[in-house]
Amino acid sequence: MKKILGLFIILLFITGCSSKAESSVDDSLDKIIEKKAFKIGHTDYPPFGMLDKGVSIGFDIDIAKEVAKRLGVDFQTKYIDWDSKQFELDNGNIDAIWNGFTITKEREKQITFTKPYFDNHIVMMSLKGNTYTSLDDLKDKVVGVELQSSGQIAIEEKTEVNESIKEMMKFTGVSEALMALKTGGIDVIVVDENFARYVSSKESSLYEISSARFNPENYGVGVKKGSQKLADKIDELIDEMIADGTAGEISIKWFNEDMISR
Amino acid sequence: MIEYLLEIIPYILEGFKMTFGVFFITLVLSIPLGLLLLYLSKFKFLEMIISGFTWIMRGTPLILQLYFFVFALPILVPGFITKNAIIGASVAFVLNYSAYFTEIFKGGLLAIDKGQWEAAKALKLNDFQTMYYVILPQMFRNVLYALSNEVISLVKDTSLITVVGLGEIFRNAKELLLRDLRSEALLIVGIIYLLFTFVVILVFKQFERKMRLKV
Repeated sequence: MKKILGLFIILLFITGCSSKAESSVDDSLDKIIEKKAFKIGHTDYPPFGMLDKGVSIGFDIDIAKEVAKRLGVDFQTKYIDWDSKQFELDNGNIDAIWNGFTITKEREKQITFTKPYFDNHIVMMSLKGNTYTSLDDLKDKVVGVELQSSGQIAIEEKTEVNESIKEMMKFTGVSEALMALKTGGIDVIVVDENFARYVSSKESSLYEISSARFNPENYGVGVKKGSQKLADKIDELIDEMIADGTAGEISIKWFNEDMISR
Repeated sequence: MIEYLLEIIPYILEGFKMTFGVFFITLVLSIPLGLLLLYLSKFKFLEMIISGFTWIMRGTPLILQLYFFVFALPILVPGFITKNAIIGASVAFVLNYSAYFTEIFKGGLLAIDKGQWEAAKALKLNDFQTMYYVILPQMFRNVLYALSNEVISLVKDTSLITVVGLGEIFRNAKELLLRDLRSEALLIVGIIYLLFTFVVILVFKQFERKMRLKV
């Protein structure tokens, strides 16, 4: 029993310390230049990042690829489990999380963000014929969200709304939430507008998106905590791409309009 | 650190109702169902169907079966009762585990010496008495270790129901991991599973003692 307790304490110690260990000198940018490669992590979040026959594609992928090109290094991607993104970043498996990544106060404690480059809102998405106009319509409904997504947080921070809904089902992936919506297991999904628009552009006869948009938020690129130099360099290159029109072109390719917002 | 643990443990434990619920429903339904399938497979025309069933349930991943029963079946068969994720997930678990249990019981049955049946016949026991007093106790004794393995697997497999949106302990721990970007919750949930399986092992130790198994 003592041994087990000892092991437990050691494990706690390791997990407690790991987040604090940081080098004092910021060599984040030099490291990228040195290894001649810039590797970003992404998951399925179309149209920002997704896999097509094993190859990473998407709006964010194209932007990141251009940033790597301008850095003069190889561009690499890693398809990650979104729930493990923090580990991937802290272990150095990836240099950046670049996948429609919402900037939040909580995340800023563990991750260094670039400046925002894209806007997002939260909307309600339902099957055609079930119109949701305001948050009051969620009363007595079974609401689906992705675990710890902006959608979940948007509901939970509004205590009155949160108490009025029948049940909140939290899914590990947004695709599971979509399946549940189709089967009728849930009535409505509270989700990122950018994602909802993409999904309904694929199957427009199936879904309906609320006109009400709430909780404006911004996407940024996340790098390891303290890697300010890398974040600054990415910002500099994105600004450059906006100025010379490259970024706008990429946006038009994926969204049919220039949606980049600094 | 201690403060943080005290904050997260109650939330993780909230999911235990769901973890235990699925575990318990599966256990109490799939063991009798496994026995029933074993009994029914003595009829030739049912044997084929049952072995097809066990092939499918043992031959595909449980996680896939969960998707099927919760997400696909309600669409394939409109008006199907399993719109409710808890029911759908329980059906998947019960069917999956009954397939394993029926095969385990079959193994236990085949291991019983033919002489036992003959002896029962010589003692003029009827079919029920033969089964109840002679065959089944020996069968259960034969399968006890395989059974305890399965039940321990079941404890851990309950974590799969996160994929259909149900909040059990693993899901809750993962939620804390994502919210706080701290990994202590995973350690806690690991300890809960260990304690749970420890209780299962203790219960099986009691069974062993009752059946006077020499190890």
